[in-house]
Amino acid sequence: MIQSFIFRILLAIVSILLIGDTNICNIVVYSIIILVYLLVFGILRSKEKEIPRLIWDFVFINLVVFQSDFSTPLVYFFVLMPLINATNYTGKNDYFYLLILFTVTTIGFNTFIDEKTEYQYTLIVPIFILTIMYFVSSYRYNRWKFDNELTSKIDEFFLSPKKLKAHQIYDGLIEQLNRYARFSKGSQIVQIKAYRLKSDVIWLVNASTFIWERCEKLDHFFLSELKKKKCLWKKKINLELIYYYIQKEDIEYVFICIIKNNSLSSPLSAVSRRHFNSALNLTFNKLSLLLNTEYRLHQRRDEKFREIKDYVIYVNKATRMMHFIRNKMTPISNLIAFHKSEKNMTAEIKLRMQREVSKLYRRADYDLREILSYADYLLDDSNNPYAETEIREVDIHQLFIILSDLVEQYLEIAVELDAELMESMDNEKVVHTNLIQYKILILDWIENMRKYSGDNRYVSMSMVNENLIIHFENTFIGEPEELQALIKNLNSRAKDAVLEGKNFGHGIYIIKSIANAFDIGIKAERKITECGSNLFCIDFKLCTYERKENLDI
Amino acid sequence: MNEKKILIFEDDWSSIKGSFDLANIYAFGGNLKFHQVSKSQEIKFLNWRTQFSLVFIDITLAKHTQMDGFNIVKKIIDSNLFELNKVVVMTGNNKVEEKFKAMQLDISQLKILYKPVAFDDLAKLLQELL
Repeated sequence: MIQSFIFRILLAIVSILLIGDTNICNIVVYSIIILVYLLVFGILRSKEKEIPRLIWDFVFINLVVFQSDFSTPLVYFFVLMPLINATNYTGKNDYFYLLILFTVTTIGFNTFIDEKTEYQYTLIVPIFILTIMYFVSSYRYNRWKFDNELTSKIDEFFLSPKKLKAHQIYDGLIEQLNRYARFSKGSQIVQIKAYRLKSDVIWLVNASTFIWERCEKLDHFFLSELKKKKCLWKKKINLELIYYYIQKEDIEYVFICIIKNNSLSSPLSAVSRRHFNSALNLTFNKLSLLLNTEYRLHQRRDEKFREIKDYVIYVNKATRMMHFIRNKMTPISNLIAFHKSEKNMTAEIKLRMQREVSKLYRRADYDLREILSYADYLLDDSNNPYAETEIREVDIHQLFIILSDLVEQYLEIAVELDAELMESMDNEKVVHTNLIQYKILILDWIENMRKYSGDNRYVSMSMVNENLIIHFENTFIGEPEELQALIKNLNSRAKDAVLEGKNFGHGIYIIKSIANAFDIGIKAERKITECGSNLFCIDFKLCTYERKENLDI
Repeated sequence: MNEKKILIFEDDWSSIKGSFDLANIYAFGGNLKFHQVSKSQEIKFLNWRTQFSLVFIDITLAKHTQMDGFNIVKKIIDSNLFELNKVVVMTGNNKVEEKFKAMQLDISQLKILYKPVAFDDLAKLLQELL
């Protein structure tokens, strides 16, 4: 729209240059003419009257160039302006032919009535060149438009909030291709199928319509031809089948485009076929990217599922074992109950009970052995997919990154570093630990800090006497006695220290378990700030070593 | 004492039989009779009132049974087969009440017995219900 108005204004400006009249009255008249021209153009534009617009432009042009000298370049340029601006006229070739007709008529008429100017055949040359340029740019424009709409259709699959189904993508592609191809009457693409090639069998991935047959064996010779030429056409009764081969990474695809063709001849001429094949190339290249992405996603989901499957099986097994163990406790419960209730029994009842109880001993013994074997199974780390026990050499960089990520995310502060530590990082010092357990320990401690600390928080990493020290510091919300209990429990070396504080329990237990298992030292202490509030400090100490290659710990 | 018969749905009878036998001797002088079935299809769901004094139901009752414990309770309620206050559900799972709520069954009169079942607790319950 804006381009159209700019063009008309340019037309008006050039017309002023052509008139070159300085007479005030003529200028006023001429200004009115230009205003009328622009107004009428605006009305016709708003009503989308294309042919009347074209006619109106040439009425104006003819009015301006009437009895002008066509040997003047500016006059000739003025008449050619609509042709130069051709692609702005709707982009339809039909109107372009009218445009040529009006331009040639304008030039012919004005050179004919002007007895001074000889009709010069060379005036046709620029028209001819402009016509070729128009058709070339029109072709490019249509290709660009096709490519754009095609890409949008495929992108919709990823961007659409309600996920598009495969057949909806294909429906869109078929519509695009049918519009682009301009098949002979009665012909059109009716189906597209996508297959993955393995050896000489193609396996269905998806298609524009539902298909029962999931696979097809291809003739060996046909397949090698297809791989060489990438695209082969095959006639089948009233159908044309286009086979298209594409390899994306290590996956080979074969696309089959089915054209319904009721005529005896091909739906496309040889020249059009080449163009159509290149359109198919574009379409199937993009489609294969999409299929590849989907395939990789499926693979990752399957991998995840296989990983999770082991966890799920283990947990289910553990749960069943707990149920089983519960049931197996019955004989033991009865033995205990018998001993508790003995004193309330009469002699006769006791005697009868003892006969029954004696049967329980063997049963209880057997059940106890079964319980112990289940316990052994659960305690055996090789059965437990959750167990992370492997110790490796870990760079201090990695420990720092994990610590920083967690501290920044959950505490919204930065980790302070000291100079000696930075030097150690450069010297490639390492720690012997398990990264997952380290992360669990840090995360658990941070969780505790978030729950029980005030705003004053500080975290640092430093190197002291070849030991990596991760220091956490925060103001403590709670009673001084609770803080003392926490410090005592953390510093305690007892394996199963009883946790005295009512608010601490499972989290501290996990931290201590990990620290014990992976030789991480813990030192907790209390400091008093200048304003008298309690400051809780904890250091996690990890020994460092020089890196050794192929170290087997 | 009149002989009383108790219907027991339990697929792992060997693990719990001892408790019932001991409770029987301890509190009832051995006068109780137990009719144990492993699967729901082993008994007809018809007018239990004339046959049994109590019904015990193991809630899982797995393996080849047409109805599990939850559905047996539902059948009892829907068909008015038995007084609900004479039905005892046996389970090792403390989420069983939630499951009954999810099935929209009113189990306020139902008794729940958690495994492992020691004979003294069982005897107390039997004395209370009989």
